[in-house]
Amino acid sequence: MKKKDELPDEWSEHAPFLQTFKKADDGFRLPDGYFESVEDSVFRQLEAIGATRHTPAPKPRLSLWQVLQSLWQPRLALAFAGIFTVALTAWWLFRPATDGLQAPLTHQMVSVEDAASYLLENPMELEPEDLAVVFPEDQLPAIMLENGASNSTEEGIRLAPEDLELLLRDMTDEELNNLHEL
Amino acid sequence: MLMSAYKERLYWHIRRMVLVHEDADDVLQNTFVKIYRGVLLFEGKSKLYTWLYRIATNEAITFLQNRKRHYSTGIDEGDNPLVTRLRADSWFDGDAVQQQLQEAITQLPDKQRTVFNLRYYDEMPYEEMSRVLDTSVGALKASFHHAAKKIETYFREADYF
Repeated sequence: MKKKDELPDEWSEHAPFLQTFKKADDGFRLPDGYFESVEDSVFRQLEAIGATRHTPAPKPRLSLWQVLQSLWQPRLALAFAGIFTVALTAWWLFRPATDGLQAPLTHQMVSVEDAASYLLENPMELEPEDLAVVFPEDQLPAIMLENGASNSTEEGIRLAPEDLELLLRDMTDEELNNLHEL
Repeated sequence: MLMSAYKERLYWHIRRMVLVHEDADDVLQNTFVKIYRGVLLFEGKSKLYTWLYRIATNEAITFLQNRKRHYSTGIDEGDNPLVTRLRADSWFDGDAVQQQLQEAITQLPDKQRTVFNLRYYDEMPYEEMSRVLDTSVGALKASFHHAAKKIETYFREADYF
């Protein structure tokens, strides 16, 4: 292929005189600002054509099914399916671990007073070991007797001195006063 | 924008085909109207530039053919109507050589004239021209060669050399 640079060679080969003419002014002129005005003229013509030829036709009413069909695109459906799968997998991998059980009640949900009153009202629902944590040692045999869960009415559950100390430390002033009155 | 980018190149291509500014203006406007109305039909198989040139070339050739039909029904058929119009055009002030060159070019058949103008003035590569005119490169080269020889002969007969 001969490029622009090779054009003079082509002309000198076929018609050397053409090369001489090319250098001269060809004499073609045009009005000032012609290229600025021609765009307006073209757009005026286009508007005129558009006004006469494009009469707005009433749009046919589409049923819901036709609208859905027009929206249905296999690529779009695949993309949505992919996004849904990724989101489901992410939720499955990063869901909070509950081990199939309800989360334990926190201190924020149940106050100490409410818990203590519940335990005092429903002692039969708890195991003796659980009760030993909240009840004074001398009350425990009576409960055990009522529950009938143990044959030992005399001894009950003995707390180690360290556990007792911890228990006393965790008790409120009111509980300590009650304990003192007993 | 499409028009801003190509209006000058297309204008000069058309102008050298039809020679007179008023005619070139009409053809250029028709060309852009056709381009805008048909832009949705542009399939992108060729370059936009090629497609635009093709429309402009076809529009200019159609214009020239209509002119020929118009003048062939007239009384005075002795002179070349294109040359007559060029001489009367106030937007042409070329010297005697340039005027003679244009006269020589107007003697060429439309297709050959298009090939000559695209090569000589627009310096379009033959491969590009092949896509614009839908003609083989070999045929275009031969066409340009014949056109150049005819113009040379025209100048020889006019005792220029």
